[in-house]
Amino acid sequence: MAASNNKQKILVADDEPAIAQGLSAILSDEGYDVTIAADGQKALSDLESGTFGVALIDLNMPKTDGLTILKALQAKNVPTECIIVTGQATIDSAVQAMREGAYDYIEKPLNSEKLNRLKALIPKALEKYAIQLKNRELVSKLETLTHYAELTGQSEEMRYVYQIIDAVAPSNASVLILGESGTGKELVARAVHSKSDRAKGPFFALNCAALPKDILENELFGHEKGAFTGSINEKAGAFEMADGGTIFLDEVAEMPTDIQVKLLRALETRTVRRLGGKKEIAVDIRIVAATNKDLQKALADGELREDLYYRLAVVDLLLPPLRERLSDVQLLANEFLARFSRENGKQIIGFDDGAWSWIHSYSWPGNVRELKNAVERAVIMARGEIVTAQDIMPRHLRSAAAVSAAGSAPSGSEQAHEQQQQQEQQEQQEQPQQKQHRARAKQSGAKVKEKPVKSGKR
Amino acid sequence: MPQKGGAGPSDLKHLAHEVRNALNGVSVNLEVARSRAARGSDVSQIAPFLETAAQQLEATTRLHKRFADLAMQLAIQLESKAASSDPAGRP
Repeated sequence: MAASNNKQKILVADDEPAIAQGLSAILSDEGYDVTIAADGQKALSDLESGTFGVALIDLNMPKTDGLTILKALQAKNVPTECIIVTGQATIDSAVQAMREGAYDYIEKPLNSEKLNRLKALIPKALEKYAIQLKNRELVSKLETLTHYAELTGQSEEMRYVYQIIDAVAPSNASVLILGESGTGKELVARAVHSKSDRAKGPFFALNCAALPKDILENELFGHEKGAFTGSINEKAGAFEMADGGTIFLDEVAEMPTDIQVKLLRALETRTVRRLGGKKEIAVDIRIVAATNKDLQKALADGELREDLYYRLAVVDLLLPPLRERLSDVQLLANEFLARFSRENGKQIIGFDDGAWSWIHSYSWPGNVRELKNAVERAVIMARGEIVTAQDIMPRHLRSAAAVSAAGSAPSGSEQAHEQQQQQEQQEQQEQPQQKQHRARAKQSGAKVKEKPVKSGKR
Repeated sequence: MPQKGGAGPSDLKHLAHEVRNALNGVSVNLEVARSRAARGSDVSQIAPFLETAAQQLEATTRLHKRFADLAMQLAIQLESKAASSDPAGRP
């Protein structure tokens, strides 16, 4: 008879059918949903599902013994609580089993008294299993509060960014990401891609500032054989390669204007023509572009075509600089510390007060990228298991700090720094929407029309 | 007369393990029958476990006989070894 869904699941792993079936009957009578595994391999494969609250495991079993099962469950982080059933001759193994994370053990033969003890143990083990599941659920929830795709941040500013991504990702709208260098514009682009229906398609990133004009054009649109000297083979461009996916055009305002014309045409017609080619190739792509440029100036100077701007900025998204989301600094610093400690084989457990004080007071003009590099350097430089201010502070700032400490009155640059901090504090008190508004106005000027994302999620 | 390389302590250990397993089978299945009987379960819900307990008890009897034979064999081996190391039979 099929067990009802609310029964808690128990696995009995024993190669002796008489014992396995007897235990199964006893536990079924107690109201559990019992499954029998006749050898260790079957037990391990059943337990890997993680749906069993408790497993009764005989230590001596064919194929895979009980200790190996325990080790495998630990390695795979399976939350099932294991009760080991062992003969007296293997009591040492039972002790070892407890060290490997077994919940408890019971010696054979299982007389009435021991079976009663087993019946009493199981609800407690199930309770521990339930607590473990709850903990995992909470950790997972916490993870979603602090992370979004590859982005890290729990500040209101970043939550607002996540909301916009959530709203815009399912559509096919072009997205223009505005933000200072090092704020994570490509990660946002990847998040837009990964949260969209195009997630299974390719993500193709191209830095428009990094390539000379001819190469950029070739990279974007590809070429036919013989299109130019040396083009001995045909080559597909980014549009073709990203068909069904997303193209990320970083530093888009750096793109030469004649390529901008071609890009605009490709966006409007959803077709591309290779260099030297005659046929139009239909492409199904979504464009996400980014820039850290002063858009108002770029538009006024004619560096960025206005028609292309409006085509790209169907939704514009401002990524806040790190100084405007100071509440994320600690989270990011800790995350980088754990990552680089692991990668460098070091056992660094945290930052000391001096390091935290400096991390929180510094304005991080290079944003997350600068913080990441600073933490990586600090991990490499740290001699103990704690990162100090000396480890994390760049050399030129260390000397400046020493000079400043020697003098008593604040210098002109310090006063300017204080003024800047006051302004930043004022700005931090604004709501994320206001910040986006202010920063767009600053970056794009009055010429740029506000285009709020239309979404019920906001 | 036991031969060289015959039964040894590890065989006894293995048999002891087998006996314990069979006794375990008896115990567990009797417990099922007992608790079900106490709850007034139908005979059809009890009989298979009594049958298994009986089979396990028979297995225990067989294993016990083998255990006893083996223990005897080992005892003879030990006596023979003791006699050969001291032919005069001195203590």
